[in-house]
Amino acid sequence: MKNRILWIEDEAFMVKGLLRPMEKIGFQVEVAKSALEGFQKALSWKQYDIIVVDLIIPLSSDELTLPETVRQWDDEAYVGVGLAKWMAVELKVEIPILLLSVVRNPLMAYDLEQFGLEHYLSKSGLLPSHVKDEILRILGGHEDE
Amino acid sequence: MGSREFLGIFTQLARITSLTSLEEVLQKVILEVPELMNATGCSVYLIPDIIPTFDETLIRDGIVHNYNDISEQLIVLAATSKPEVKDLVGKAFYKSGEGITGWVYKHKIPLNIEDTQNEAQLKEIAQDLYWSDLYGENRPKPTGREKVPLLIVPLVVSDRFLGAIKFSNKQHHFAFSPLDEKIALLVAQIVSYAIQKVIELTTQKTTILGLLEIGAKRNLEEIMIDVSKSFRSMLHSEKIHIYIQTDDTNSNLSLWIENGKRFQVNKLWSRGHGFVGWVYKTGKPLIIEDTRLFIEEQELTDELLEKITDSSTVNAEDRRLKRQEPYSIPNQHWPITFLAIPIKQDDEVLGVLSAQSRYGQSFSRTTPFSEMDFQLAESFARIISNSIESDQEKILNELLTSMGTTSDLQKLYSLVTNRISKIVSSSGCSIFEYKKDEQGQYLKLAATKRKCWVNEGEHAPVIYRLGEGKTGYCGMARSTLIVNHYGSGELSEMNMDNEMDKITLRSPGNFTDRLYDENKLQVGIIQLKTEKDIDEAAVKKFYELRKTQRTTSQGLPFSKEKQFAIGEGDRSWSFVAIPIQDENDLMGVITLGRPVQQNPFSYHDITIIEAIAGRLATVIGNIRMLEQRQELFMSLAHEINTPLTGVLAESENLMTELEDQPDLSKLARDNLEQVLRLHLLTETIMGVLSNRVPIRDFKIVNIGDVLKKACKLFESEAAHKGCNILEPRSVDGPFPDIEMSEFDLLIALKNIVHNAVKYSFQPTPHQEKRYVKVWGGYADFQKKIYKINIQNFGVGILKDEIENRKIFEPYYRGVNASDRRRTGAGFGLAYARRIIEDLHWGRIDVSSIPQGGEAYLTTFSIILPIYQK
Repeated sequence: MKNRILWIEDEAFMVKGLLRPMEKIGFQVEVAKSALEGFQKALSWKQYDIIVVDLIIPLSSDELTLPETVRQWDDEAYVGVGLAKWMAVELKVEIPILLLSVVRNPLMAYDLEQFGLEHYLSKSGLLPSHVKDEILRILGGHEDE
Repeated sequence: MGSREFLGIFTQLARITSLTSLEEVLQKVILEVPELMNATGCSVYLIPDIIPTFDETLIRDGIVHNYNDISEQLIVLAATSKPEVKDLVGKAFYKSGEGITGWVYKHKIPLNIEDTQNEAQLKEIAQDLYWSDLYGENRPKPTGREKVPLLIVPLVVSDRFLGAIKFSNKQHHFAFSPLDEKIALLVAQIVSYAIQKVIELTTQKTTILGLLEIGAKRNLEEIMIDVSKSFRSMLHSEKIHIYIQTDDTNSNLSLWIENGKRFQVNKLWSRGHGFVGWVYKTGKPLIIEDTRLFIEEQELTDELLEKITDSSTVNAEDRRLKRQEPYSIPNQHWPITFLAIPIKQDDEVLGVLSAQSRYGQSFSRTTPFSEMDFQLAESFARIISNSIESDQEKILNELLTSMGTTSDLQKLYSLVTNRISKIVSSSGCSIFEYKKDEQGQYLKLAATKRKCWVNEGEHAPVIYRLGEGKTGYCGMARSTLIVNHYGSGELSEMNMDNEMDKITLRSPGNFTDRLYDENKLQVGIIQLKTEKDIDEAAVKKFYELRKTQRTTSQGLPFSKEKQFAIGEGDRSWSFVAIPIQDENDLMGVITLGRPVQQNPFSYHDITIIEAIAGRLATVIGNIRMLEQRQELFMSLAHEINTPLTGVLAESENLMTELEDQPDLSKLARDNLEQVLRLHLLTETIMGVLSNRVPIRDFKIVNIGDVLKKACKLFESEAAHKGCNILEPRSVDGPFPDIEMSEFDLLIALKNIVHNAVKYSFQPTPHQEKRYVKVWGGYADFQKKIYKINIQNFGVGILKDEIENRKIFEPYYRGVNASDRRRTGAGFGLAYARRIIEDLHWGRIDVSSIPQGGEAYLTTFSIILPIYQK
């Protein structure tokens, strides 16, 4: 266990409290504020235990310099859907990906389970305790592991 | 018998003619006449046709018979009181020529038999023998000791046969003498007049009552039923039929009413088919004296019909199809007289009223339908026509009102496309929406009678750029367009459009030049709203041309011949397109079409469609404004949601991190509850405004856990109010697991529990404490349905609000609930209903029982299937 989480979320400054219980139990949360940042950090996915992705994120603050892979995600329903699919299919990350979004049940809406994406949490009314329980359940461990 | 005795007897008998009811007449006959004849038995037989109040369903041989089956038979209607005879009353029937009575019925000649007892074969013989034969050399001779003589005389007025009187069993077994027979005939004459009089009197009363009833009725079908009954009794007709166009069969008539009853089987007549179809096609009345001359109805040729319908000043003689060989009536068939009158509105034929009856020697009707009958029929047709018009007005008003209360475009379009054909007869109705894109303006098919594409994204089955096709042209010119296409072969949307191109609608200034092109396609444009696209000189020319041509009521030129150019494979259509616009703001186009042979759209039709289009424009404008506001609210709610998630997260973190400081931790908990309620509110608002069923996200979850979560959120508010929420309990063992979308069901339950707390009364010191109770139990023996109840004591809900489910409508606030102490927006229950009923296939109901004063015991019941499948 590396006790590190990659959180791809452009509004992390507003909802940072969601992952505070994880920090309290010793996890280091690294935030990527755009799809481009997420793309760059995800390349070294082995440093993390889990990647948490918001589906509604911008491509980047400077869209002119985007790599073609990232630019293509703009054609998806949400940029985060493209990013998550790329991580699962192209990058073949071997750590869990948790989708965290206001989009209700994206697994069903965009049929993401076929790409191995099977975890999601709805942001609406979400409490930090739920996020902690879900991440620990996914990681299949406990705080003391 | 001396002349003095005769005088006495007939003076007494003549009193019968002063009686006013059939029952009185018949009673007097069977009580007094047998004595006069020295007979012990007397029966009166009548044909049911002449009895105005005759029950139309009779039992014979234990079988229920319809009136029509027995209308040509005699029925024993009165008899002397011997049980075996009395038992026959209303049950014994004799067909014309059947049995001794039937024989008299057939030949209208008296029958005198010396002894029926000992001549068993008489009954059969009598069918074929005439009276003279019986009294000739072959006269049967009585052989037994007790003779039963019989005398039957017909009841006849002029040529009209009413029935027969049978005298039997003359005293001392004497045979009836020729003098008896003469007396019997005189008696029968007086009785016939008495019966005829009471029948006429009763018919008159029935007719007046029927007419008064018609005046009092408002419902079209009831009026048609009453018209049918009154018309039938006035015409002495066997059958009265009312045929009406139905919205789904525009080129056909449906048989709607038969003899005062709603006809159950949908019988259709197309234009030109059969007598009724011919009247439907031509809009002219038809009287046929004897239909046997037209056994095959198709034999009514154009040429023949021309004779009776062509003249605009038809007199009674012209209108009538004469018998070609008068009175040479074949024995096997009775002649049928037929009368059919079109039910018209302006020039449009909406239906046909018809009467038919057999007539001749033995039936109640002795003559074909007369000119007076024709006039009566026309009056009745006018009554029906006016009723249809007022019915249309009623439906139109209902439609206009319903449109005003609709806040959803899909429902609005569906309402208009489905109801409009009941007001303006049409095969179909389409609504096109006006849109813009990079290539310019276009009209997109949004709804037809069968389907609506409003909520199906941008996929459009048909698109017309402005100026393209008839619809596009209508949109561009902002004017009403009427196209009447007379041609043969299949007419598709596309070739209609090609025809439109041919007459250069793209440069409408020239359209008048080709207005009569090949007499194939004719176009009229009326009520031009903006004339900038039309060349003024051409418009002037068009109007001048119109004056010189034969025109219809709407001023469109087309010839009568073409209008009725019905032929094999004919596909002539009339089409109308009317812009939906609010001043100069074009919102779309509404189109209707129907076969030309049904008559092109009239000015009256156009006025109605324009009224609907005007209303559509207003309502679409309101809905769009509402949608804009909804989008604004939605975007605001989304804006609030993200910071709210942050505040919610920090509140819970604070509560957890301050666990060792109870006061601060409690403060943080209260804060968290407030934020959770705020979250509930934003979710509910977004749910209602998004106007859609939430996405299905079903899992198996314990309903008890969900109920506890819903209650927990409002525990402190309830405690503060003094109406604690009791722990949810299950009356059938533990709470079951239910397949549900937990997120959505929790929102629904939270809203209902919150309402229960919000509308609970605060107990006064003298009152016992009240609670919000939540309990559940299975609603069926198979344990497939679970019912949850949430109950409170407080503000009540009105009966009307419950029965009409008003409290479940968005934005509706209960009458009792709307005060300044309790705020609300009318979203909670509306969204809860949608989640429970539309998403979970459940049902939400409410009861509110007065408890004295202003207090009510209100219980919301939620029924949920355990499994969604």
